[in-house]
This record gives sequence, structure tokens and C-alpha cells, in this order.
Amino acid sequence: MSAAHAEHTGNVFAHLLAELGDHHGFYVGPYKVASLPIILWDEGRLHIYPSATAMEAAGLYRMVEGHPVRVADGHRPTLDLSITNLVVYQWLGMLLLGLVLWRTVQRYRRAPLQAPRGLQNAIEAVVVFLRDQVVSPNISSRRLANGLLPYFLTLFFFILVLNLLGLVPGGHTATGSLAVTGALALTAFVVINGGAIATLGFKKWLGHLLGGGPLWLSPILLPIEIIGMFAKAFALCVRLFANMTAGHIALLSLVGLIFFFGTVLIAPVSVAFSVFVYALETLVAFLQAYIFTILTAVFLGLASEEQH
Amino acid sequence: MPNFLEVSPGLIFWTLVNFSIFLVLLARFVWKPLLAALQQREQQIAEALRSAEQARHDAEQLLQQAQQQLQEAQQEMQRLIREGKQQADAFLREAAEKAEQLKRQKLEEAERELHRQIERAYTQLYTEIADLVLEGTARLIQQTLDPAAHRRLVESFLAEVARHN
Amino acid sequence: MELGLAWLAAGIGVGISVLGAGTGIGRLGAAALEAASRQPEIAGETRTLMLIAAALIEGIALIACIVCILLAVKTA
Repeated sequence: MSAAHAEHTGNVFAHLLAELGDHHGFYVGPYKVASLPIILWDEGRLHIYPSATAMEAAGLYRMVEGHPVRVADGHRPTLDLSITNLVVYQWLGMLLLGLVLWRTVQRYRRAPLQAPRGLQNAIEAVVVFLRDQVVSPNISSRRLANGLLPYFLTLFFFILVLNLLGLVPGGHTATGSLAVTGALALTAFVVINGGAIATLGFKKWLGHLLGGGPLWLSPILLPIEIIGMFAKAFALCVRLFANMTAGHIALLSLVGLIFFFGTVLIAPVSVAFSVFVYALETLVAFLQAYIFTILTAVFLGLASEEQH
Repeated sequence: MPNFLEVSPGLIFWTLVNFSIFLVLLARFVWKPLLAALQQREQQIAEALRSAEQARHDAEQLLQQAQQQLQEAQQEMQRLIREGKQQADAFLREAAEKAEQLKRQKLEEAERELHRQIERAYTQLYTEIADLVLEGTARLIQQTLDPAAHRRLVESFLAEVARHN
Repeated sequence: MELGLAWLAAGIGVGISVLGAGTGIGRLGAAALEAASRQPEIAGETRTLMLIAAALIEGIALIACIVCILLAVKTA
């Protein structure tokens, strides 16, 4: 959308979509605000450069299509652990949320028995809702529910703040990346199966994997159960990613209509629909944080319930 | 594959690191005190509710007690009134009876007295009449008759009169 | 030609998956509404279950959409 991308030709939609991905460097909207350190793990050696230009100046790697590649053979390094745009957005979100929550907790420290006020009230309502409506009804073991409550609370607020940061004009959506949602789904996977093992014991958990049917059915059920185990986490990952990206794509498409038709007359329609989609995205931001959390709780409850 | 569908291992790694640190920090510094405060407040509210319930219960009991006492007092009062009335009635009845008796006594006495008086008057009257008749007759017949026989005659006559009377 | 076919496939694919998801969510919403109006006292529970089911349906639709996007952004 920016001038820098104006010279792109061909599949404009694909180029617009590329904007949704991750970048080396801190971007606000389409504008690069700061360069970020590049950390590469390549063939047993760690290379750390303060920025992309410094990396290119060092001569070992250069940027090709937004990724560092070896100058020598044009291959990508083994592992690209660079601080990227979305990592910074996660930090921003964590910082913001941390400050808000810290302030809230201070108020609890000062007067724990007072009725909550303002933002404290909102946060407390969410916390109580998650505790009483999401975690408790799904996880039958009281000890496990209490132990995992901090995880679910953190998960919800982490996803929520990243979703909302993506809705701030100029902000990038960290949860609109498969890597981020994949990592979150990975923690959910660990929690679901770890919680199930903690509740049932390893043997019963293995028995769960046999599907609970007669033993001769287990060769059929075992792969299904194992696939199901991973499919749940995969679905969590894709659902969050797709929901957060879909809204952005819808917005891009609506604004793209103006350029597609080449007339400004279509702008009012585009803007009206954009506002609608934007409001919808705000709803979706909350909804998906909730859905991710409750589905993790539901899956954990399903995985850790006794055979019947 | 478009840029935004790429899954970069670096981003997964950093997300895991960020999330883990965030989880540990929040669990230690936010959720622990917050949940503890929530629980404390809930406990306090539950406690307050329980004590309010207790107080209500106590008050109800007290009210019941007071009502019972009031009822008892009322019953006692009514009993007293009834007894007083009964006593008063008995007293009145007694007094009336006494008065009646006294009245009857007096009447009887008066009647007896009256009879006595009448009798005495009669006796006097008879004596006087006898004397007068005697005298009159004596004067009339001038002692023609033996006074003793005369007297006997008059007296028998008078006795006859008294019987007829 | 190939590119055109890919875009055509993306469009048709999105249409079909949206049809399925729309039907699913519509039926789900109708059932949830009916349940909530029959037993308003468990409306909250119904809403939660509805959201979960909706999310599951949506997940499938979104996976289909991603396949379609992969087709749509095919460049070679």
C-alpha cells in the first residue's frame, strides 16, 4: 500500500498479503521504524548482528526477499532466531498488559477487601469468568484446575492483547502468524496431555489412546486417537491464525476494491464495509481469545476424564 | 507460499520464550496476589453472609421468644381478670345474700314485733272492753247479777270472739 | 491458463466451504436459540456450547479457506 510497494506488478493481492507476514525490523503500518538484531544459528555457529545492514556489511549473509541467505551458496541458515517485528509486538503487548495488570494488583495490595473499581472491575470480571465458567466446569480435578488457572489466564490475556494490538492502526497482529499461534497451540498441547497424564497417570493415559474400545479395535483407533490429539492442537493454531488474518484480508480486499475499480467513487462503500469489518474484528479479537482458552480447557477436560 | 503463511522456527522459539517468561512473571506477581485477594474477598463475603444469616436467625428466635412471652403475659392477664371478676362476683353475690338475709330477718322481726303489738293491743282492748262491758252492764242492770257469774259469761263470750277473730 | 484455473478453483472452493460453514453455523444458531428460549435458565451454558461448536465448524471452514488462499496467491 505504501509508496515502496507501488512498483509491484502482477499479483497485487499476493503482495498485499505479504504485508501481513513477519519482517526483519520494527514496522508501524508499512513504515520501518527501527532495525532489529539478527541472530542466526548456522552450522553450529551463532552469528549475531545488530541490524540487517550490519549483517550485509559483514559479508557472510545478505537479505533476499526479506530473509537472510548465505552469500556463499544462496541457502538459508539452519535456524533464523532473529528478533523480528512480531517478536517486538509481543513484547509491546506484554509490556502494556503487564503494566495494566501490575497497576490492578497494586490496588488489590492496598485494599484487598474493597469493591473493585474501573479497570480493576473489568479485569476482575474476566478473571472470575475464566475461573468459574471456563476452567472450573471443564477440569474436574480441583487441584489441577487451580494449578493451571494461571496458565489459562495468561493465555487469554496474551492472545487478547496481541489481537487488540493488531487492531490499533499501524499495529501488526502477532496472532496473525502461524508460528505464534503454533507456539501457543504447542503450549496447549503440552498442557492438555501433561494435565491428562497428571490426572490419569501414564498408564491410563495410554489406555485413553487405545480409544476405549475392545482391544482388537485398537490398531484402527490408535492412529485416529493420535491424529486427533495433534489435530486438536493444529485446529487451535489454525483457527486463531485464520480468524485474525481473515479480518485483515477482508479489510485489504475492501480497500483494494478502490484500486481494482480505479475510481474514488467506490470509496464510500469500501469505507462503510471496512468500518463494519473492523467492528467485527474487535468482537472476534475477544471471541477468539476466549475460544482458544475454553477449547484448551475443554480438550484438557476430555483428555483427562475417566473411561466410561 | 506467501510470506504470511510461512512458519518460521525463530518466531516459534521466541513466542515460546516470551510466553513462558510472561506466564512465570504473571503467575508470580499478578495472578497469585489477585486470586488470593479474590478468594479472601469471597471468603469475607461468605463469612458476612453467614453471620448475617446467623443474626437473622437469632433475631427471629428473639422475636419468637418475645412473642411467646407477650402471649403468656396476655394469658396471665386474662386469667387475673377472670379471677378478679369471679371474686368480685362472689363477693357481690355474698353481699347480696347477706343483705337479703338481713332484710328478711328484719322483716321477720318487724312482723313478729307487729304481731306482738297487735296481740298486746288486742289483749288490752279485750280487757278494756270486758271492763267497759262489765261496768256498762252493771250500770245497766244495777248489780242484778252476781259479778262473778257475770264475768264468767263475758269472758266466755270474748273467748268466742277471739276464736272467731 | 494454469493460473486462471487456480484462481477459479480458489473462488469455487471458498464458495463451497462457506456454504457448508454457513449452513452449519445457521443450524447451530437455530438450535441454540430454540434451546435458550425453551430453557432460559441454562441460556449461559447453551451459549458457551454454541460458541465452542461454532468455533469447531469455523475451524474447518478456515482450513478450507487457507487452501483456497494458497490457490489464489499461486504465482507460477
